[in-house]
Amino acid sequence: MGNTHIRMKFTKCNNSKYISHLDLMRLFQRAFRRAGLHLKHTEGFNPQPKLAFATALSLGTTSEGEYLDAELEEGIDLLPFKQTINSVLPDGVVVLDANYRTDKESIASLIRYGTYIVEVTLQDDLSKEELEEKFEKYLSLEEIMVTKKKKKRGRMVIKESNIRELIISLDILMYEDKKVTFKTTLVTGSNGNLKPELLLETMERYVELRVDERETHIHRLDLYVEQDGEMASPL
Amino acid sequence: MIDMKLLEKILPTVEKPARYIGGELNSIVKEVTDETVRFGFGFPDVYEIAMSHLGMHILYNLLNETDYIYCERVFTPWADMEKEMRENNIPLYGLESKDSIQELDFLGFTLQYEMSYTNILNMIDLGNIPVLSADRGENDPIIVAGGPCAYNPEPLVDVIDFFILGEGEEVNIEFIDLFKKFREQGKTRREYLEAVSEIEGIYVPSLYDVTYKEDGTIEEFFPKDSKFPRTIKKRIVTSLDTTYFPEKIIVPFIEAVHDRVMLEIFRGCTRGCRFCQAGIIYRPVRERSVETLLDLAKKLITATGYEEISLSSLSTSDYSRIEELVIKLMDEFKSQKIGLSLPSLRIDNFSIDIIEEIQEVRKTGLTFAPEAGTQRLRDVINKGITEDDIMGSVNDAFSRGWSTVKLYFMIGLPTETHEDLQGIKDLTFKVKDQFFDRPKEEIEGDLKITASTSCFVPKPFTPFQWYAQDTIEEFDEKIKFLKSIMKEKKIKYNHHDSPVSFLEAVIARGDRRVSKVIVQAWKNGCRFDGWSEHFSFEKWMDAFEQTGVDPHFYANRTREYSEILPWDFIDIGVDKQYLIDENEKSKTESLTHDCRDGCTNCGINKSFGGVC
Repeated sequence: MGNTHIRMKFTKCNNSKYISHLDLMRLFQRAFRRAGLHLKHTEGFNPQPKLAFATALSLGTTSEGEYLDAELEEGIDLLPFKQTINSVLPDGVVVLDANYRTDKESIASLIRYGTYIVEVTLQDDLSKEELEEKFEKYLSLEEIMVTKKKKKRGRMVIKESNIRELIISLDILMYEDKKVTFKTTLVTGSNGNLKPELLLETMERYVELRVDERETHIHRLDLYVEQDGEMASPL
Repeated sequence: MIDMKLLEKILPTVEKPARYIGGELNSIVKEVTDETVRFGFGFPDVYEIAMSHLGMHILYNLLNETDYIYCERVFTPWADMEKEMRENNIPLYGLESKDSIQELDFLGFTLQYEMSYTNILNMIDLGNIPVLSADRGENDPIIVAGGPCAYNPEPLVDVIDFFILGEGEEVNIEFIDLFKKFREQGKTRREYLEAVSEIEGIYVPSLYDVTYKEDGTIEEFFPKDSKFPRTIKKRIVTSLDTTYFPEKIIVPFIEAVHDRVMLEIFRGCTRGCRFCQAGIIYRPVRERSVETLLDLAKKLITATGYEEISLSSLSTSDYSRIEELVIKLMDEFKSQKIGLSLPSLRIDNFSIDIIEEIQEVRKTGLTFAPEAGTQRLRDVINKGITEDDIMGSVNDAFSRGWSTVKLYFMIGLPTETHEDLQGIKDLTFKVKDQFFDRPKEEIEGDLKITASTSCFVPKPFTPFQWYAQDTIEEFDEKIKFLKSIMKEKKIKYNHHDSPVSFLEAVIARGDRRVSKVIVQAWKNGCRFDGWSEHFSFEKWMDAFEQTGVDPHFYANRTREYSEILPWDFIDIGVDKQYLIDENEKSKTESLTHDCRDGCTNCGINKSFGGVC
């Protein structure tokens, strides 16, 4: 029989994009029970199943690169595991791949980068050149400042930070009829995190790239860890 | 189908979009053919509340068992979503098909509480369907309603085409069958409504008329044609073991209020508390067997993966084999880390044993419902518990480590005096003293007592149905007094707002004229009246003014026994004389025993032929 520590990669597409992080936790917990796979629980007063997600995904964002660590009571082979769990998951949530976990660190602390496909509709009718210029100008900035409000000991503290270094790449894939599709890799995870929504907000502020908020689609392609200075799959 | 692209655009802008998408595990999507009869189960509240309602899950699955019936869910969009839908011309739609509710054959609402009525009107309107029954045509859905509040259907007669009285498991299939037959024969809506009135348990209000006396009370309630039944008798299912119960239920994507397997262990209640409508209308008591319940529990857990099972009934500890049931459920599910919850538990030493068994480590709060502050008043309402019972249980709970206690009371009960209000304080403080009057080393935890009062609302089909409710001013005086004496740092005093209870009283015992007020209130913008952030007393009072209806006539007036009550034409199986006798007994503070200890002749056994 296989190992008990499983790391899996799954999708969050279609309607499941409206499921919040907390609800997704419950969804998997129940899916494991329906599949007859018993999860290990924490000790103590309020035992919780041993399930851990890599990072949270904003409500409404679809993804084909989400990660989850699960610890089972009994070991299982990977192929039957994938088949069993997929047979009980709701539409849009599919386990694409699974592997045994070899490291001791939590998946959340390992993630370094996220790659996204973002589709936006511009408010202004720009030429292709004008659009490219804006992207170039944006990437040439040395400082892209954002402010974060944080509650510290009951007081609101405004924290400023430069997010330029959190943008690894930003490339236009397509531009047609005011619709722009671009691909971007952003620092993601517990050691720095930039959401695509914030990227769009700063593009409007710094290079006047105005988009119709209701026409924005964000799709996460994958998450990555760092291995020998390179981006690598968490599996 | 509604414009899905447009829906996709607005969903990210509203709170909890998963309320509006359907597609959950175990939801049922069917193909629509010429044969299909389409039924929308309407719950007039937001998704998380609607999905917590066991009756919805039962009827949804039951109706969908029949191939040609396609039952889907229709819930109230929250205010943010309503605004988007109206601005973007998206009609209210069924969660399964995403078709406008206009395309359905039936829209059936469950009437769980009076303050949800304006939502019904709003939902119909959001489907571009005429709100008034009289304005609907051949192509509009037939709008029906059932549930506990349907036992006084009159306040909704202008809106609802027909009502279903009693338990819907059998009768729903019967009227849908008849519809299918009539549709095939090309018969009209009017012909159908007349024919459906012959099915027992169905009330078609447009076939009846009411005349009033000069003093505003009812002179006569009569069918417009002698071929329609004079009285409408409620429907019941005789055996819960043979009655349908779903083996799989929808598991919501977002957390519902009750997000667990709900097992209905029995219907009805034998206690006979005189304020309680449920205790009368759900008679007789019928239990599901331990064997059936265990079997259902296993199937439901497998189908849902839920981590909790809750036992559902009006009074869980009255189930005759409760101990055996709890032990067997624990044996089966404990190892799978599945919890068991027992709401509506009468707290006594025995039930504390059970709670301790199922909670094991974490001790959540215990809830007691003495309802009244003095023994005299508890006898008036036939609550059947003594202060010794309560203090004994509290003592037992404290000694086993509980330190959080909730106490529920009602104010404005019949014959209530100042002394009874004082009694609420005295009992609450006694509970507090009980906690501290123990050796120091035995005291565990930090005591927290929450005492809540609700404002008594006299309901139809109870011994108190003739009683005048306290006025808002009287309630507020009492609340003010209680606030002034309940001052103690271990005690938190909560109270329900009197204006809502006043409106509940008006609607609960309203007649056909109240129907106009509800329509007007909705036009004034009332909706989600049960939610304090939406409730507007002013808009309601405007509606009374605009329609010339006096709310005090319904809420604050004592009725004579001889008066024809708006719901008198409904036969719930319990004799009116029994209710009168019970009301008279309440005046002399005499108790009526639990009918499990011997029949109290309420009439139900005679009415349904040896059911208990």
